[in-house]
Amino acid sequence: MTRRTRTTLTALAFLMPNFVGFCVFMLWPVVFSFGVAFTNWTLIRTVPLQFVGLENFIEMFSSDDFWLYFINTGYLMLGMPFAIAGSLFLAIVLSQKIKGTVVFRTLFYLPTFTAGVALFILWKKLYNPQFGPINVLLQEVFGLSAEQTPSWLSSTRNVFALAVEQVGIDPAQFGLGARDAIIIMGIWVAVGGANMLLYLAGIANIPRDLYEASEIDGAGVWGKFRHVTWPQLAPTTFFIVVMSFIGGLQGGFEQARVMTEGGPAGTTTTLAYYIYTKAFEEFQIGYASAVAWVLFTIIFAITLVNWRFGSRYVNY
Amino acid sequence: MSTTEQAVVGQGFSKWWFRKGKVYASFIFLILFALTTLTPFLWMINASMKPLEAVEDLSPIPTIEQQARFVETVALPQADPEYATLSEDEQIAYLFGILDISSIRETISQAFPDMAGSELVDMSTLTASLSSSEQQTLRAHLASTQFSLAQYYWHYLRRNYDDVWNSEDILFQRYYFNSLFIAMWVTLLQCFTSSLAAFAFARLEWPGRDSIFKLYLATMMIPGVVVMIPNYTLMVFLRLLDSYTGLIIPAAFTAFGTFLLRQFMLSIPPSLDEAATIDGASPWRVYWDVILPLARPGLIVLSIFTFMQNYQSFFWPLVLIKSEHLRTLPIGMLYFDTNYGNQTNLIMAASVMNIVPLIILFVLMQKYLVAGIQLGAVKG
Repeated sequence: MTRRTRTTLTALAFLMPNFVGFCVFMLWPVVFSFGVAFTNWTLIRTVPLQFVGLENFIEMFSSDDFWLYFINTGYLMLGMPFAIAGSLFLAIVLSQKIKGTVVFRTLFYLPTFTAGVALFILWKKLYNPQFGPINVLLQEVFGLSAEQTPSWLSSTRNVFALAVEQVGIDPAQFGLGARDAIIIMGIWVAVGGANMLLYLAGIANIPRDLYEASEIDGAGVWGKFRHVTWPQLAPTTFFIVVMSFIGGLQGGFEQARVMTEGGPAGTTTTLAYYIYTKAFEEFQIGYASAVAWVLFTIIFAITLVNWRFGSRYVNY
Repeated sequence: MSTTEQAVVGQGFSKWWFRKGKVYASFIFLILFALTTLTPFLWMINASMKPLEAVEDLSPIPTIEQQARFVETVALPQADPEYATLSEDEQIAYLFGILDISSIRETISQAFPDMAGSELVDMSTLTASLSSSEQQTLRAHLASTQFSLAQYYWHYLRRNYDDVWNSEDILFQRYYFNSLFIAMWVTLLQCFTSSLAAFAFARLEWPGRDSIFKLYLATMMIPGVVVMIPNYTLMVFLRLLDSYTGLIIPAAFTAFGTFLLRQFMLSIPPSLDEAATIDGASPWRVYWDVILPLARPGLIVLSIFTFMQNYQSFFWPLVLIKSEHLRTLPIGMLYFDTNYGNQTNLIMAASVMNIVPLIILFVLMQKYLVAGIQLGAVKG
């Protein structure tokens, strides 16, 4: 046995435990679900298993539900720019020489670290239209009547006046509703989270002399941000935007399951929650796999566009 | 002093003030923002220490009526078991008995402002002159003088948390154990298999290494839901539905763990394992005695991520687990909220207990975690 073969065998032995699991629970499922997407497989065995070609996809694209949930997914991602801008702002404020930076950083990171069912249940209580502290506060502090306060998680209203049931605009739908409630909660969770830490690291890596040079050129606070901080942080911002897109497109499942069960009138059902209900409540494995693959394709396409479009603006 | 010097000093002075002002403004902003972040948590903790009737109140201090009810139903019977056996008139007499004259006068003038100043301190004349609803008011005010906020919160804190922890409706301790047990096993397996694979990717030379690593990287973009459905059918096929094994094994292999540890191992100088190999160490010894100890920060970061992710994991246990005794905390919380949703104080107590391990973990491991998040992003 040559030395080369021996090292290769050693390497494979090291790789094996992980690689077997990786193949069984990652690679094989991907291939398998692609195949299943073209069948009518259901776990309730009433119809014989059949290859149905593009039928699942045709059914999906011609159903209003799919497009509504597609729009919902996009709607819930509208909080992203606010969360990212907030993270950047917090990071800039925290990077100054201020006492207690570590304490503040810890406190800001708390919601991200504890995010999960417990926090979603908490926010469900906070948003309760009759007894929740948010509406009680709105009534007591701003003197609103019970009818004037938003119904939050039980309302189909939204700030863009999007119609319910069919795709379109309906002025009567203007207001604050379930989707906005989830966005606000999402910003609270994310603003002091991983993105802020990434920006903090990014800011720490900006060479000090760039600021000194811009100060000599007479740049003020805004000028320094516009011409030094922002361009220097472009790679970080780019990374954060790509990751947020990937996360946002497959998000919304836990919130929908715990807080709203996808309602009211399906307004908080995202694609991820739609796949869950199709696969695990209606057991339509074939159709759910088709939706999952459409979601994957969208994520893949957007990531590609981001890389092509974004890398032009990033100068390392 | 020339005028130019004065101008320079003046400019320096205003600049100094500007800097100072900016620091103070930032500090105030940070405190306000920290409060905004904390408010939901504070409400949660406060609600978890209240009786159900007071949960909707924003103020942490109960109203006179709530105070009186607490004193009469909890504090006084605790201090003197006889109190509960007394009639209403006797209870008023009892309250008169334990209070001194000046505090009785003060209480009366609070309860009935128009009576202030009159010399009605003889109990029987006073009670005789009051209607029965006025007597109730007087009793509430007298009782509320015995109210202690610390005792109130301590009582409901113990009661609510005990109700959840030893509940007969939900197996809270069991959920807790399941979550910790599963998260620990996944973390152990994940660290072990990932570090082995990372060693093969970062420290050994073999044909096909880079293409297999690219395969690992590529799968990191695949949404979880795509693989969840086939994995579920696989579990059906292997008869692992509703079992610890089914919860642990599929979660134990991720491309992310291998990727993260590879990054850490790449930063270890290659001369170290070369020296060990020349000294006759087997690849296993190099892995175990040289690389693993040096990759410790990476293992810690991966452990924290994996533990916290699996402790909070929701989708997989939700679809996999049917029996109650196998539910994890998030699933248990979901059904607790669905079935007993109106008991807000108990649900908040459960939520607090749910996130306490995470907060402890975070505070202890903060240093590693912050570094790890920043490193995990450097894949460019």
